[in-house]
Amino acid sequence: MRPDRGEWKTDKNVVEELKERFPDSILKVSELRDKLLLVELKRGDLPEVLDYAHNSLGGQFLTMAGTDYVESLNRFIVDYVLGWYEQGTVLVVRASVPRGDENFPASTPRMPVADWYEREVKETLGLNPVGHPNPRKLLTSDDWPEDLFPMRKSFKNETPPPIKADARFPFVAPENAGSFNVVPYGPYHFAIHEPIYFRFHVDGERITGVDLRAGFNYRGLEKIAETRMSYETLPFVAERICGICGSVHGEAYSQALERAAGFEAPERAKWIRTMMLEIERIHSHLLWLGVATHMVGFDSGLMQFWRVRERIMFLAELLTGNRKQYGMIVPGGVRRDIREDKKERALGEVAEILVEYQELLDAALGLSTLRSRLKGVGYLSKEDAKRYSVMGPVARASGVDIDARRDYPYEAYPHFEFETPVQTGGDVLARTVVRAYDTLESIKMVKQALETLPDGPVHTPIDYIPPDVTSVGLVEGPRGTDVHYLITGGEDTVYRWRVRAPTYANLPATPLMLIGETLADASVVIGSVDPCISCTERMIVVDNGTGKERIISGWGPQEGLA
Amino acid sequence: MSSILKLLKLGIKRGRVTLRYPAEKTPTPEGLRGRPVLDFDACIGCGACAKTCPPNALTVEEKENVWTLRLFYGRCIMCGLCEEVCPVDAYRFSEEFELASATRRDLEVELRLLRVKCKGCGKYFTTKRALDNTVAEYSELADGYAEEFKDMIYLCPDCRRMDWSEALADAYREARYES
Repeated sequence: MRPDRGEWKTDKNVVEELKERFPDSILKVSELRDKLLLVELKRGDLPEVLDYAHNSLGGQFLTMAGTDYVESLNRFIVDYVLGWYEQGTVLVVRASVPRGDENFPASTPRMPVADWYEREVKETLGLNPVGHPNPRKLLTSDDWPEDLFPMRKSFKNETPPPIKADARFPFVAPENAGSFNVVPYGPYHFAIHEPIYFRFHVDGERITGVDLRAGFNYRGLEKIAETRMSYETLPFVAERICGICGSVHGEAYSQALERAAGFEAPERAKWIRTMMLEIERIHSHLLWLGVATHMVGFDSGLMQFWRVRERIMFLAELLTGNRKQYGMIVPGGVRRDIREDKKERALGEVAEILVEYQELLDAALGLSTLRSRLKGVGYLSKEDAKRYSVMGPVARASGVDIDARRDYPYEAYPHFEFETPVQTGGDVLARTVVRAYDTLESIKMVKQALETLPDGPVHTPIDYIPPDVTSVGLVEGPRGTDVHYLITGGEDTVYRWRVRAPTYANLPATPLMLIGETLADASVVIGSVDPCISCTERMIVVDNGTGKERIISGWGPQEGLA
Repeated sequence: MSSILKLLKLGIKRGRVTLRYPAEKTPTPEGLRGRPVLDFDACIGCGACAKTCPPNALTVEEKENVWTLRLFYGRCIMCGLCEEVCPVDAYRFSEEFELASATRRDLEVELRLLRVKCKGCGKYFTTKRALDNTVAEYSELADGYAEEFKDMIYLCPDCRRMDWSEALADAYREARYES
């Protein structure tokens, strides 16, 4: 049963409502696929319509992508993708940007969630979001030229990046800068899973401002996909976007492509896919629980959670031949079948994992020291969670009841029984509890999948993939909803592929959680989103008298860091 | 019972689970996707694996009469597409997964095969093994139709195309002449 979520508008068709309100702005409405709609707008009316759709109609901001159509149509397009999870509808809001006048009005002032996306379009495609409050670089390196746009079709992917040694990223100071210190966090921190650089402005022990610089890991995978991968080899690239949620990306890509082709995977493949996604969720959450307990100094937690996790890793290895990067989910189905004897063995494993996990959960989550350490830390209100369209456990811990598995049903999930744990605390404890119970549900789902596995083929080839179809794949990953936006191309390759991993949505909300917290809590707050970071390694002191920065570091003075 | 005692009990109950690695080997299940091993004797040099390899761990170089296949394990992602596309099943997954090495050369495998010349234009066009394989497979078809076009096997794709279109043109001319 779908829980009652009264505060969301569910009664009316979103497109009808937009048509009624903005009759002059909407140029064309078309239904791309079932529950996937396309609305074409006049370029100038983008912010107004998006503002209404996101803030008043409660549309969840899923992704945004710009595409280069200069060669064929002499223009660019920008697509904003919004989702209404209570109806399962996905809406693509599109506007054209002609060549020669590469501007479009920014929606960020009305809708802060669009911040990163519009910056990305600016620097990778050269479309200028007019009125963007923070048009700094996001992904490319500091010395990447301002007039070289990697996602344009005219850019060749073998172009060597130019080197400019004196380039600097313009970090911002807090607004009411009195006396403050800057504490750098990252970018290559010994405990950070992903390279990211936080700058904390601290007043004593309290964090008063946060600035962050991402993009150290920008590998241009989307460009590689467009230029030298085929539909068949792309899932292997997609899987390697992330070392933790590889299957999620493989699934999101396959889902988007299959949706574009109007293809349905065989039943047995759907069950196996669902099982792989759940196995991945279990191992990811257990990894996170281990790291989180380690970050608060509870190392027996780390050891015990990882002990249970090891069994899941072995289960994955048994079924797929690898602990990670399963290479299972490809367009058309899955690559490996599950033999009867392996199924029996897997069922035995799952039963034992369930027992071991439950006894551990009982002991660890009941610890009063752990609970009081996490309670009230890194608070994110429900309003902010919705405003920033945060995803997955972060949103569910703030009382936003979203789960793509239930809201945008895919694969075998409609046939499965599961609960989505929701907490209202909004703090790190709530995020921990959500993940802990999510894991329990997932273990039960793996069991269900194995028990009800239907017979039949596991892979059927896709006959025909029509060109120029816009499609969206939505998958509930361990960290939140993963969105793959895709436009099919003519020659066995994608024309445009835009990956929006859940952290891309969750990370911009971390400053909200961090401000007002103490420096000692920063690790666990950032970690609670799921890129995990440990303690501070070095410190910069800004002397307000001279404006000079001095770095106190175990590694010796490092010039030019700030 | 307080949680801390429960945790202590749990620790004692479950005990030590770590292995004395590397003295003790990690158990691997059947069907592990370890290092793919290429059977040098089976490979016919068609190059399908290199075409499909997503990370370009497999590359083919064609130079005069030598066809070279290079497999660099440093790039290999153990996806198994090479095993899937190989027409003669020359790839097999091994149980080896510890590929750390002090030198890059330890991770490189190279296979060289001889190429043969086209009977039409005299350019090198395929490996001898691939040609032999095609001849063997073709003779299995063993009907009159197959026999008629057997010579085309020894032609490079360009010459084959020319040959074929000339034959078509001849047939067309003949047909027109007759009518």
